[in-house]
Amino acid sequence: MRRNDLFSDRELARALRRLDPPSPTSAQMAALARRIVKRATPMLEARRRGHSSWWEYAAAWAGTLLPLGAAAALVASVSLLWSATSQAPARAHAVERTALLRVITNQAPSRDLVDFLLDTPAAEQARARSRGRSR
Amino acid sequence: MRDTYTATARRHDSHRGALVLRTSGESDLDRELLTRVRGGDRDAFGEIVERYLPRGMALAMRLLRHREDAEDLVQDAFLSALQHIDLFDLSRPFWPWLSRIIVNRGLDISASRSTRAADALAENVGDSAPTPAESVERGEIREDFRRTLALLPERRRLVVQLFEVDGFSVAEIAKLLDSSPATVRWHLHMGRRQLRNALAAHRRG
Repeated sequence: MRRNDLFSDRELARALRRLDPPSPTSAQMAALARRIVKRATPMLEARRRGHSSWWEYAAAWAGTLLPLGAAAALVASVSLLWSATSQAPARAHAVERTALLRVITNQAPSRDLVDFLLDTPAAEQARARSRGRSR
Repeated sequence: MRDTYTATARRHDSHRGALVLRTSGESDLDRELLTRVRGGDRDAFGEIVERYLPRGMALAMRLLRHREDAEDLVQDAFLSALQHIDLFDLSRPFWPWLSRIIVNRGLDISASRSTRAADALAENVGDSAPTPAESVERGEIREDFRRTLALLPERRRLVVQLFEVDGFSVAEIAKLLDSSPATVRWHLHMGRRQLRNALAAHRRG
């Protein structure tokens, strides 16, 4: 690659231009334009009637639907992950297990456990009682 | 890049303006026309054909060097563009997309038939009447030069002609041929060297 390669070579250009085939006449160009439009007419009419094929719709919407689908999948997977790792039920189970253990080991009366499970105001008292006892 | 295109257009409009890549005001009108074409508007399609046919034809002639073949190529390219018009991004200029279709198809066609194109190069003379001696000499030079040009690999020939005759920049050619500027520069360098050698051989002789 030489520096001169960045500029046109006049002699070469002239020699190449001499070999150029003649350009089509304006009449030939006009005839070609008419032929192209004529050949395209059935396709254009189908478009006008809205008879596009399903894959044409799919292709047209692909640019919108693909990112939308990917975003929906992402949101769904994040939601699933969040609900699976949620700590609330585990904490509830832990409290129940502690109450059950206290009853089994005679640190609390069994009605405390029943009250606790029924979640009545008495259960609150039982919880308070068991907390007091453990202190 | 836009400035380069415009400068290129101005520089070469005098002898072959048809291959100009684009001008700045085209895009808005194109967008409107192509939106109508998507809805099946025949007049809008006709206008698009009218706007891009000269450029498309010039490029196809450059590729195939044969008028009837070039006409078939351009017709196929326009119909293919219409068929896939929903895939076209309307925010982008139309000509690079259409020209890529023409180039890809044209290179396929010219690879499948190289002899006919070489024949087509032979007989085009644009000079004023030379003397008989000049005729013989010019004929010989032209024949050798023509043969060398026809023997160049298709892409290399196209690169040299687009650069030398049509005034495209290396970047523009790279974009058109979906190639890297380095590859285009290499083809340009090698192609010119081969063609200059063909001209120089006669100068020495």
